[in-house]
Amino acid sequence: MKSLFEIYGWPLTTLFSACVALWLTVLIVAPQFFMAELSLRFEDRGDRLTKIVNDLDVLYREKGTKEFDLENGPACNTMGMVNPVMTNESSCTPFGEEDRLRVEQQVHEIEDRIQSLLVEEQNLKKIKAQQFPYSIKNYTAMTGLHAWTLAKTVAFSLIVTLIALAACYPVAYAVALRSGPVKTGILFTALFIPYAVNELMRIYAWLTVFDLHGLLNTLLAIIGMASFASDELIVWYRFPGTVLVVLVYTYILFMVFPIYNTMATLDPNQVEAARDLGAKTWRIHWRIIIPHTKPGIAVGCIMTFMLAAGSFSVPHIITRGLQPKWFTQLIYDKFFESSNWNLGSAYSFTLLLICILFIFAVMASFGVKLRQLAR
Amino acid sequence: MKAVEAIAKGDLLLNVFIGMFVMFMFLPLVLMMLAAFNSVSPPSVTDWQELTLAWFPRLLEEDRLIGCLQNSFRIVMFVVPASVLLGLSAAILLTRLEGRVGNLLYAFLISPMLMPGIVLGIATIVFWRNFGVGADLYTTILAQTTFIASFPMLIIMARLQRQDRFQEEAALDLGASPFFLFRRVTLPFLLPAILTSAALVFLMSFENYNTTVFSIGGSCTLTTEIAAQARKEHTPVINALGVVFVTVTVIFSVIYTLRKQWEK
Repeated sequence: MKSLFEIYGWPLTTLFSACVALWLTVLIVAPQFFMAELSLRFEDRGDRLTKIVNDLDVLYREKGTKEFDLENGPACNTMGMVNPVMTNESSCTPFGEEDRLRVEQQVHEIEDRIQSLLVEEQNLKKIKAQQFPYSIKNYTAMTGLHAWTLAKTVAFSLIVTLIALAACYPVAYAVALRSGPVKTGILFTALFIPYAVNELMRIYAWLTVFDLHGLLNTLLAIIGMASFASDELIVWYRFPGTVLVVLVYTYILFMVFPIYNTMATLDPNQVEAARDLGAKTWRIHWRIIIPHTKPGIAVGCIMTFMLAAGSFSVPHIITRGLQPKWFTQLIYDKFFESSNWNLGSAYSFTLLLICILFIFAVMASFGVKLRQLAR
Repeated sequence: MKAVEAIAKGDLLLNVFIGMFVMFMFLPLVLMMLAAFNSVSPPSVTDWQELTLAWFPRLLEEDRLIGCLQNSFRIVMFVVPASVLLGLSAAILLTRLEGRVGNLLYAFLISPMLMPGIVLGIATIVFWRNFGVGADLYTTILAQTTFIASFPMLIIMARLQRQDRFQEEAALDLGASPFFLFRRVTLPFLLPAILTSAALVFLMSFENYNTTVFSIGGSCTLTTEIAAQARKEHTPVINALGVVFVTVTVIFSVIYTLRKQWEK
């Protein structure tokens, strides 16, 4: 810390420290903490307190109607809607003495019930305020269907990661170690262009393949397995495989570049020397190239898995509501449709925990440290 | 001799494979672009009617799309300076901080880029709701900055590690003030890294969807609008926009590569 002050002086050092402190606390730690805190507060929508609040609502409305009746007479209580039995003006007559007493009695009864419910509500609120506010019920409340969705999302993301790794290792190898400078430049650009094109556009592009009148159905029609005339077409959006293909397509390049970047730093003479000494190709990969490329492979796996598991864009655009929801879509619904933020936070935090677990698993199995992950 | 043949055979296989890979990456993009020149709506490449450029001028009539595009630029305007400033500060601090504190700080500061984007968006709106700030462009700016700032940090750190520290010390010994040193020695040295990271931040903020859609509330950006339209019946205007996107990307990628070759 001393050298920092000496070199940059106190005004700049203070500025840098303040920026980092702000980033760390206000942007990173506090939001995650508040999300975790919210996820531990269980909002029971079927408990006694919620029921009392609902009942009170109903009773207040009932009381209002009766009091309106007492003032204006029974037939006018429909507030502008015409009573089919008594249609003429004269129906708005006041109650007879007997009816009035009966209705007044009813109002009193309602008031009594409201009173007792208010007391109970007060007591319940007091008890709730004294109770420990946190529980893990939002996590245990996950129904079988949602747990299955989560498992499916994780399984798909693992498959995407494995496919990407299997495809990208040879690609990175070809670009980094088996091409001359010109070929490397061309291939690098060819891979960089789709990487830099807007993610949404790349997902959207797949609609021309999967649409009812898209490429796949047209190809099938040509070989006679589908027909536009008799509408015997396949609705591709119904198959989960479409999401898998597009996930691979969208996030595969996040595997290529980290592997390529580390592989390009390998001295080709090492490979040459091993070959001269008679090592077979697979042995060169196993003993020289893979050990050198490990940090890149680890970053690639972590990024691809995280992006696939946390992808909202791909299932949102590709499933078009024709497939069961993806886990990220469930989270979206919890926040913006049923507006149960507590449960949504718990789901979101679960996703985060799974990704953290995956990162540690990858780092442990590759023997890579966090500092090595960058670059 | 046999070994040489095996290598040649392996290289051939490798070339075929990489050719297929590049085709896989480009095929959907090419199809999408072709559909922009077909008069059929909704967009299609296989039901070819008539070659037309009519969808391109239509882009300028899409008021909602243009409004959302302006929002994207508003967000970028804040995210770029904020991310570069945060990244620069963290890079300078981390380069001088060693040992356990440095490692811990480093772990915390790169954690946002290893988290799913939707989690960042959610955490941001949950946090700011406590202070009465509803989800809007502000929350999106904050959520995006949270993870995008990690990228300038890594780029600038890599450059700082190649800096000759004696240069700074020499300047100080010769009587330069720390502020003068930073302005005249450190900043010029870091400028290429700062510009590269600014360009990267621009790209990442502009194309971000997953974090944005969870933190923007009722507003829109270009990406959320594209997603909304792609979900329902739409015209090839989106494809025309895609052509613009891909063309701009190709031009910049080629310039970038050629410049890199030139520098060699």
